[in-house]
Amino acid sequence: MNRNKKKSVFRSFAACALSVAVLLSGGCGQKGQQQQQQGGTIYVIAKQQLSFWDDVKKGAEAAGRELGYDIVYDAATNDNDYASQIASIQRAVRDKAKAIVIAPNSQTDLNEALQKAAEAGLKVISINSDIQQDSMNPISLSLINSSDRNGGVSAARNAAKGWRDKGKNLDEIGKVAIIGHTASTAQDRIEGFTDTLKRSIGNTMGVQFPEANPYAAMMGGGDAAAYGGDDAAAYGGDAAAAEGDAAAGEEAQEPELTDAEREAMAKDQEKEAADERIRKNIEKNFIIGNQCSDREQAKAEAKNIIASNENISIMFGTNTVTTLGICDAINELGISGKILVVGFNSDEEELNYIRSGILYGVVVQNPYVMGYVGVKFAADLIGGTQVTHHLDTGVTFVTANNMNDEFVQLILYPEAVNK
Amino acid sequence: MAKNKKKSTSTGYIFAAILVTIMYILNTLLVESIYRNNTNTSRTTQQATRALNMINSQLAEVNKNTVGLAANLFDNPLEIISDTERFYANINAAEKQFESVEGLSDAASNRFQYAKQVIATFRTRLESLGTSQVESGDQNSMSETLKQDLYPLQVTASEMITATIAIVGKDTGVLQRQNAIKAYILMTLMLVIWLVSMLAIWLFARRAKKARAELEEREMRLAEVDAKLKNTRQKASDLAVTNVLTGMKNRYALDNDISDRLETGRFQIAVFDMDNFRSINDTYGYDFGDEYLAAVAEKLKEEFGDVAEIYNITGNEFCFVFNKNISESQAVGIAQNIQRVMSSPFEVLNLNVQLPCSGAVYHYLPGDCLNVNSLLVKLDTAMRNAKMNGGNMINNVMNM
Repeated sequence: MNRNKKKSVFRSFAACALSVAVLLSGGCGQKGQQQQQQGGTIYVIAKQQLSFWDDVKKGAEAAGRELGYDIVYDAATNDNDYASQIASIQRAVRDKAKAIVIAPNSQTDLNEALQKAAEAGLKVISINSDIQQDSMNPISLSLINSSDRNGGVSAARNAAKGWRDKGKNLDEIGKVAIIGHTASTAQDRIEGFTDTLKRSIGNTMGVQFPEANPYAAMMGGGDAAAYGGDDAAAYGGDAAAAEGDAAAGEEAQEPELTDAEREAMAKDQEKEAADERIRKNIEKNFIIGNQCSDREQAKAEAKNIIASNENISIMFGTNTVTTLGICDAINELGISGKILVVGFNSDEEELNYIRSGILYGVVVQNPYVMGYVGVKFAADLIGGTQVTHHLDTGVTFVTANNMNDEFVQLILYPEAVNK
Repeated sequence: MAKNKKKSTSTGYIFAAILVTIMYILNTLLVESIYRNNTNTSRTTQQATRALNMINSQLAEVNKNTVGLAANLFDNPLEIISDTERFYANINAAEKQFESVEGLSDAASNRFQYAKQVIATFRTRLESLGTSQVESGDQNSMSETLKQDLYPLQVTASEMITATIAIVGKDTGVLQRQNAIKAYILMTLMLVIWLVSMLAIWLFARRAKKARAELEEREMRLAEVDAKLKNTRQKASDLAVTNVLTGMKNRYALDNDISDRLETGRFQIAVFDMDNFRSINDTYGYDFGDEYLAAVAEKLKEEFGDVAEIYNITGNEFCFVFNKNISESQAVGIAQNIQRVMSSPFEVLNLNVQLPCSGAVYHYLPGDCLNVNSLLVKLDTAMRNAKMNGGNMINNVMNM
């Protein structure tokens, strides 16, 4: 009997201990689960599988990790493949994701799927490029990119700087060859590049080129890129119309001019005609090559341009493959140092060309920050915080000189520094 | 076995006591740690957030100035540049303050480092490009620099700073959740302590109740035994002082009763017995004799129980110690009555029997006798004298 009693006491204690354990483990289990699904899932849908998008992925995953969201990363097969992006959007809706961060491969074909996702309560954020949408009632609530036009401008400014650093004047620049890639972003980059370089050369020769996008300049950065692309052309058109009105006003006052004024005006007109000739000459020096979709094609095009044009001073490639194609051509022709090459993006091979001096420098965006801020904005929206319509993450021109700067390293190898 | 049981019970209590003590200590530690954690968490969050907000606001100031410079808003641009220097000093101080905050997560620190890098680059670019352009007053190139080189860095820095704030906030949430879990454990432990205490009290009460019941039962049994013992002893002592046949007190009883009174007492005492009682035994047998004696004794008790204590000191000899209030003359009168009653006929076993009797009366004075024996010798001598003189008479013991 004594033993039985002792046993029963122990049994009571054991029962207590067990119930405590169960309570605790139950509690912990709940907490653990909560922690995992704390914020929910955010889909990040990229354009294609390239090192650029790997960095976007890294940024998105860092933000997910730090802010408490599960990230599902999908990449389309190429930058025209919107069908698989639609499938990803539909999957996000099915998975009851909280938000979609997408780099759209089409400006219109994804709208229907995205509209449905938005109606299902998912927050949509665009990165790198936007969809065409009603700005009063947008599907995508924010765009995070770096302006392609600004990329082109940066390439031009730095090309000019590189040229000056050689100890030459800008008016000594011979021909400028540009090889664009096939995606929509190429045109803005080329325009930014040619407009800026033309103006810089013109300035040294004392001629003005009309400002292509006066509003963008006036906005001083702010939301400039929001009006980029097609909108910019529209504002440009308005500006041209305004100039037209001004000219009409001048003509109306013509009868009241004195002789001296007439003489001055004649001189002006003369100068204007001379300037126009100079402008034409400068413009003539700009060669826009055929758009190329791969490296071999770009190399062939570059060789072709170099062979058919003498005195080429500057070459510009608008993306990774065109830049590499140009460098390959120069490398094979053994004319390194004769032509100043500027390019786009930070592929490891491009960096190697910079190190070997064939490539003067590249315009790099900050894909890591794009991915990070994309997810952060999505998280803000999920949490009920409004975000800006557009965030320009900027571009950085990387040359052999600044390649080892901490910030450039941060852009080129985000995780290595961030770890 | 009883000893063994006791040992095991006390082991159980010691075990319970140790358990409860450990739990109390655990609880105290938990409360302490919850308190400390809460304080630390709120302090860390406060310091970190203050530093980050400072950086953000100062960055905004710098940006405002930069935009102002680009838009040619200021009369003295160089003064603005010096202001910017001051804002940077604030940013640097806030950066140091943030870095000195302890207990931040790696995620927060990493994100902050990223922001710091961007801010540093922002400053380098602003200094290398901005100042020379401000001095040269080239508005066009300045606005381009601002747009392409500075603005994106400022917004990136700002986003990284707000992300850091969000991470610090999330870390705070995590820490608070940890504290909540601790509080949960604390409550559970308290509940367990309560349960264990209740269990201990219940066990103790049950044991005590059982023990009390056992004790009561034992006491009751003891009382029973005691009563029995008393009864037996009573019976034994009664037997010692009682004549079994007549139920009267015997010679020992007499001894007990009057020994103490011999030295100082004054009382009337008398003895009677049947003359020639042996003839009854011889004629009718001992059983008849016993019955006859019993009948005489019964009659004597009935008639004289009120005035005297009656002893049946030998076979047919009765001794009467008269009550204190009986005088000498009354004693003589009663003695004559006794003689009359004893010598009256008795019906025993359907036979009428009558025997004469003789007696002796003694007016005892203090110090007459040394003991009861000598007293009885005196009485017996007087009674024998009466019998020798023919019997059926009462003799007085002469005082010497």
